[in-house]
Amino acid sequence: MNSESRRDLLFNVLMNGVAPLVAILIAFAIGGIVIAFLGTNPFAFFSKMISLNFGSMRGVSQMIYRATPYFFTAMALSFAFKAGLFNIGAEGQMFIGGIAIAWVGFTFTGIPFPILFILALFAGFLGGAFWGAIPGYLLVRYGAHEVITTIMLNYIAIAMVQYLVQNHFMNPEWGIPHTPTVAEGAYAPSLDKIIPWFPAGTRANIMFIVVIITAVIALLLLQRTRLGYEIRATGLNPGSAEYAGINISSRSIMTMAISGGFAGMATANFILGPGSHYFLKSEYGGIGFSGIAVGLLGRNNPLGIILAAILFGFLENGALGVQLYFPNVPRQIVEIMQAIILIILVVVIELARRFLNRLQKRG
Amino acid sequence: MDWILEILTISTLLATVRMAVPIALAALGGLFSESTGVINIALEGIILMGAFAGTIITNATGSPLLGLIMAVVAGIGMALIHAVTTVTFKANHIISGVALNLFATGTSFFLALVLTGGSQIAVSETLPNFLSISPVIYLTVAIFFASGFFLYRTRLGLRLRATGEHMAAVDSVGISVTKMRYMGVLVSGALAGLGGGYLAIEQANFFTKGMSAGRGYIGLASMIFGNWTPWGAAGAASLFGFSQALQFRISIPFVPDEFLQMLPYLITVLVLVGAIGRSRAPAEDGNHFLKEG
Repeated sequence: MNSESRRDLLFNVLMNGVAPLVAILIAFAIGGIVIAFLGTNPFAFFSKMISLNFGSMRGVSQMIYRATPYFFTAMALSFAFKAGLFNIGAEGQMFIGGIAIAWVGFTFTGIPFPILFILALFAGFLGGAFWGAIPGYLLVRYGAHEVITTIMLNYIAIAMVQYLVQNHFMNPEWGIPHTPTVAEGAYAPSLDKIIPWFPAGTRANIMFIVVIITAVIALLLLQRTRLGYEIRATGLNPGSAEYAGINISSRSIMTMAISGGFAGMATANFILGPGSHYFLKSEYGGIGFSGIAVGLLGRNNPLGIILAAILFGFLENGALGVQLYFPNVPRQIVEIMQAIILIILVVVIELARRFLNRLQKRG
Repeated sequence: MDWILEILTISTLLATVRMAVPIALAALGGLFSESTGVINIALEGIILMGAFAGTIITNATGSPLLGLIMAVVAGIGMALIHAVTTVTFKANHIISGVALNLFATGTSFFLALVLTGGSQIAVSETLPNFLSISPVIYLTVAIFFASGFFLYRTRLGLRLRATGEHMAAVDSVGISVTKMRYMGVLVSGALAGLGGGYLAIEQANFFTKGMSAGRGYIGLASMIFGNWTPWGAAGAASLFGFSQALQFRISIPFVPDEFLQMLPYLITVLVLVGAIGRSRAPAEDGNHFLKEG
């Protein structure tokens, strides 16, 4: 191994392995201190979380169920990031996609499985893609900064979805506003139907298989296709990309659309998976924003994002379960930890970069 | 047609001013930060933390003045983290801002639950009104006058703005870019923190989780629409204040409430689209200072 490839390896290990791990450990340490302040033993708290997630196959499958939507909203951030664009609008794209998933599911009731399932998922992709393409277009055509337009479109999407559910889709006799239930042809089967060692009737469903397929497709798209190359070239240096004949405007809109499409599929896990089978707005809030942290923690790599999503699934599932045992610690402790992971991560990455630079200068 | 008359009353005008204050303070904060080239989308989270700290301290001490001061302090504290990550550690400005907004959302909710057991906290005391409006409104007007003078007429203000236009030039005459940037970001935190304190203590009279509701981002849009000038930002913030005032005061026949709810956000998007070609950001916005050698 020559010195250059050794340096590349060191770079990869530090930036994509050590840095995220250090950030996670520090976040757990800070979370532990806060928990100790509330008079609870942090070691007991976290070991309960670990046993709730990993103590049984049921725990593991609950963790996967909670992790699944984060993958999609994280992909939304990371895919746009490859082209140098900030998509902070996964939250809104997720809601528009979700309402599209539910609408297809409860409207075309005669279509059998798996066609209706695939159609519903595709509708989610299209809904999110439409909502993502709008800020892309406004950026390219009017120079409106995508950070602010995507955030504003989140609020608009939430109000719009609420309007649609309450005034068009909902039966006023139901207590809480939600859409009608989707037809059976759209159901996403439990994982135990495919992988026998999952417990029967688990809420983890084939959307997790979709996660893996999506990660592979995204990797191939980015690394092996002309479109992927053009997207990455735009992100690395828009000036040279344009000089090389890449149509940056159309690539930017396309990137934002695909990015939004990923977010649009996030709620399929809840709507089509085992459970209520309808769109319930209040259940999904925050998944889009947390996806930002998941994407960056996964270092914008689809496989890394799967791991980061599982960590967030671990935290969320653990927080929901651990409440029974430690009721004096609000479960929002994990939201603070998720934010701390992100803050520490950016600092650790800069420190690692400085360390590598110093190493390079010396050697 | 009563709703048309309702738009034109004195009370709607007052409501517009009241709604505009937190947005205007955030816009001015964004202006200070971006004057030195640091993008600060953490303003949203800073407003939220200011609102939370202001509420808790007002209730604990019985003094809304102390509450407002603590809101400013909390804002400076949040801004300090943003300055450390973006200026010292050269993190991406947007990522640091997003992280701080997530942090504020989680932390304010968490602490509200720990301290009071609920996610909504009523404010026990407010400042006495002067001529039926909050003294913070007068303070805000004074801050705008002072900022206009400071940024354009004083040596330090010009240095701050020069940092946002050409960092290397500022550095070459012996002024610390780092110091200027820390100053810009910390002032932005103080202003947005005050906006948050005002929002909870004086305007809403309560704190609730997520109550900033996009005001930080709308403030940034006001700053852009106002072409990075204090008076432009104040004008744009008033427009948003007006759209929020309408939302609470009128009910237009055949227009669902949800559409009025999205109005401020829709206007923000339209304003950004309309700002193109007329407005110019500081040249060094979002850049890092990498000294050679």
